[in-house]
Amino acid sequence: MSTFTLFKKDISIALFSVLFLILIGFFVEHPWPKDFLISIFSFGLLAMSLNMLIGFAGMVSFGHAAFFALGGYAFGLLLQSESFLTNFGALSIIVAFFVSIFITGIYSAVIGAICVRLNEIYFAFLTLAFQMFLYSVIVSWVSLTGGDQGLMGGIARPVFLGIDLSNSLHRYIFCSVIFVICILLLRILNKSNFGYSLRLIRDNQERAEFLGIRVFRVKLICFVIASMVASVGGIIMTLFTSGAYPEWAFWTQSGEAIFMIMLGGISIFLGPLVGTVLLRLINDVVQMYSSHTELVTGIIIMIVVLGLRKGLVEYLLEKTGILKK
Amino acid sequence: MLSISNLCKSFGGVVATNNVTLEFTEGSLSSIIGPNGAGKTTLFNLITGKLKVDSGKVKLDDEDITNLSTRNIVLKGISRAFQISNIFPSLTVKETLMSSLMSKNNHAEKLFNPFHSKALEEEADELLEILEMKRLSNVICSNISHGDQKVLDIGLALSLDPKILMLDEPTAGMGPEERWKMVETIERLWKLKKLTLIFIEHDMDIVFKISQKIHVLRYGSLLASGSPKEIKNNEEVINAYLGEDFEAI
Repeated sequence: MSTFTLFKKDISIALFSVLFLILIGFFVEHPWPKDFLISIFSFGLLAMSLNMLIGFAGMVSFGHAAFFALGGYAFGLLLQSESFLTNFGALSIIVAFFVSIFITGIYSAVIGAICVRLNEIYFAFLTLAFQMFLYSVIVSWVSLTGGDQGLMGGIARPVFLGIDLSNSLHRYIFCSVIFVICILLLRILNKSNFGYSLRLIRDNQERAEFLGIRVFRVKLICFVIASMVASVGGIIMTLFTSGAYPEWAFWTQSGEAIFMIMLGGISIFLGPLVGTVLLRLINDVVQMYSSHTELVTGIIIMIVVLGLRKGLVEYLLEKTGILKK
Repeated sequence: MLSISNLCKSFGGVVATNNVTLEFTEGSLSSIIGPNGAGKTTLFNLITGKLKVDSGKVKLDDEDITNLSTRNIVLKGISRAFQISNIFPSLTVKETLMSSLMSKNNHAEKLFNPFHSKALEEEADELLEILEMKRLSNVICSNISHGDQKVLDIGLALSLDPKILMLDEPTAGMGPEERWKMVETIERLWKLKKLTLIFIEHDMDIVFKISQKIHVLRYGSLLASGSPKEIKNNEEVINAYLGEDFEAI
């Protein structure tokens, strides 16, 4: 049986989601929902891909946002380069998209080959160190990255296949399609043989080794895929803001992604996505009334962590009896 | 046939395995006994690639397998179960077996193949039948009894289709009744799968009842090897381990 027939249900859900998101795009006039959703697509991919490491494989990374930032910067820099644009013309966006993901893949393979040999806190801190390394490079290489100002001046968005990404509706639909494809990819990986190899490693690495699992290899593949998906999040953000900013590579961005996962729940596939929506909502709502957004989000996270001791989605599913304890 | 010759391993100044030479003939059922700290588990770790050998050789059917990686040793046909049942707490019993079967079939790195496939489920069901664990198929591993976890652990090792199965204290932490049930299970699997079985055990009743050959370790060295009868009457073994008033069945 082919992958397609066996993942029929997930693929149909994905198709419906795309359709639904596109309908929102067409029928909602106000720009806020679309802008909000694009930020969800972007940070949602960061959180969901981080959960591939934390939730699927038990690898708690504190440096995941580095790959988000790298994807964003690579994409932005390519589309600011005159020679790149003249070379690829109308295909620039597509080429830049795949090249940025590819660059992130290579970079994360190098970082991953060093990091995934370690476990637990050592893994966490090494990933954090590499993230801060990238942050320093971005901030200090002013001539290339614009330093702490970020990538200024906007990026070119040449029209391709009739898609004009400077048009907000086109951009929104483009981003939602990419987003859903990435989530579907994560879903398939989670349910695949590979996903179960990750579970084995998460639960008991030593025993997995004695079952003949190539632990290092499986962890590295997982690390690279998660990083590449995170880079897609960064690319969406770059498309949206028409720039790239060093805060994306700062450790607090990784921290925020971990908050999103904790808020939604680590063991439910879409938990981190719900966490992303919640965190962004809290952020946006609080911002309307006060400038102390961090204080409020901090308190809410403390309530969730100390009060529920699990993610909100997990809590609700258990309460309603869908998920057994 | 598994043979080890002049195997040595030390940790700093402590010699854990000292020049051990042993043979396990095909289809045999042997046990390794000895006081705590005699180097029994270390010997298992050396054979299965968990620890690197300092010197000496491990050979499987005349092929040198010394210091191969764990995975390669598994692929050669040596698998093991652990002293403390060593399983996957968040998976169900059936999923656990399916996972190890998937690994055996070399499908563990397939990114887009669905895990829940009919072929794999059938293979796992067959194994559940053999282990007499069908009733526990859909229970999460961490919720089954200690004894069942030990059987499942052996089942995991067995799912890799080994020629040689190594069990580290298969009856540890069990009550007397459960122990004998375990022994029956082990004997049954040994006959059914025509395995070469090696086990570490502290319960002398069990050891002398089922072993064809017994190897005694002390301070990392081989003290004696022989049939249960020979070991029972071996002066050195009696003095060092069994004690004078030992009366085995």
